[in-house]
Amino acid sequence: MTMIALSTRRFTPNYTRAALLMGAAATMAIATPLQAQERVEVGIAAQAAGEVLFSATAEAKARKIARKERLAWGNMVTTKKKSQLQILLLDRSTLSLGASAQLVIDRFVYDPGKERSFVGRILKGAFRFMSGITTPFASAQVESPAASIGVRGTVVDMIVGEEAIAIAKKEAAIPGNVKHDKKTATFVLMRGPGARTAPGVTPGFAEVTGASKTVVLDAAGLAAYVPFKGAEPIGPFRISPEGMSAVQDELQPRVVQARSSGNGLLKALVGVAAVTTAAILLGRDGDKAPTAGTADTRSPNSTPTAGTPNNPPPTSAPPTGQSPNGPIG
Amino acid sequence: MSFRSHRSGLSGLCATFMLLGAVPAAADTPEQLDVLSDASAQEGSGIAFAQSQASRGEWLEAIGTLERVLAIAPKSHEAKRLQALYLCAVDDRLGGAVILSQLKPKNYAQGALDEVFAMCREPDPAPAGEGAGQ
Repeated sequence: MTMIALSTRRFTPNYTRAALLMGAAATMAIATPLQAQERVEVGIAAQAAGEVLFSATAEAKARKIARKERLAWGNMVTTKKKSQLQILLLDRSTLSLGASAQLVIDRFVYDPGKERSFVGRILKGAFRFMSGITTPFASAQVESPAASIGVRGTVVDMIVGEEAIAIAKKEAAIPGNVKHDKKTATFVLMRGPGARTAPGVTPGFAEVTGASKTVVLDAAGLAAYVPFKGAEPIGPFRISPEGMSAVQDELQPRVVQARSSGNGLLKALVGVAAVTTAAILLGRDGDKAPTAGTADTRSPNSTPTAGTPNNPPPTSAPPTGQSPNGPIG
Repeated sequence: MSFRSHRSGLSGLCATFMLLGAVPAAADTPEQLDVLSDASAQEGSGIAFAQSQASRGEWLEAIGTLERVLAIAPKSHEAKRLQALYLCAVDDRLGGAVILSQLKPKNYAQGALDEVFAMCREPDPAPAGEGAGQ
């Protein structure tokens, strides 16, 4: 009764208290058919580019989403080819979907200054969770078909499906004899904030659980991969520049499309050169991503190095004829 | 956080600053989120908004704002430059460096990329054994 009395169709300044109380009643709410529940708004579609669809529930008929569309518990969003969506939650956490992705928002509870929790499911495609305003108790739980990903105050990228396999197969940490499932394979990458972050944000971590094993990603650039439902996560391992570039591209299909709108072959070559140069800038071998616990003795927090045009990286000079600040293309 | 290579007219800047003045410091209603969305609905205002967020130490939000800008203006050189800069600022140096390596100097004023290179540069070697997870 309390939950119904306090819930509103539109958020008011009293909304957050109502949301908290509703969160306390979450168990009851989840047990209740969605159609019978009050609509609990959690945020908006802050930007939608291309063809992005919205449905009230995973079973309901989808329609095109509009910028500033209100999103609520149970809603499902789907991006089509070359499309992307960004959702802003009430605590300013950001959910980003790349092309051909699908997300269900199961639950979001926010009490400013006290608590925030998000529960969602990424069914396919690329997805980024970026924590918003710092609260003492902030958590996010994202379920993929093969993994459960807990996020604590950080930026985490997740890719589900064939794209995850394509990225994982190029990582040295992934054994060649691993079996992959193109529907459930899940790749998870921690982006930051890292240990050397600027003031104003706090480093966080992510936990990736598959089968009965949990892998902790607690440094920027660490990744884990669950090749199929029921498999344990492989990792953590430090992602290669090629892998990072591929993940970035999955999350920004519009940028990739703009970049490749000219001569396709030339642009593809430019892309390869860019990654190669990034590896050089970072002073690392772009072909090898060390596996956790192997010969790589660097700390997971040992972030890569880039030089300035006037102060090149100390560990690796560019090859002859290549400018340290030069792009590439 | 310079704004050297961004080109926008005076009227656009005025509109941007008027808009920024209306942006709430915190958001806990959808209406306040609408204002954030509106602030990044155009390239110029979105970039200015991201810079204002970064200047307040709201790095992650600034990165989110630039994501929205790049969704509608995927060729925006300044948005890409700032994206690389802010990723490195939160110690996602590999992510920042990958974007930085795709930028073309001909699209920027001389020295405009120096700040990004400086931010993405490793400050000091990390002590052996630091961190966890491996």
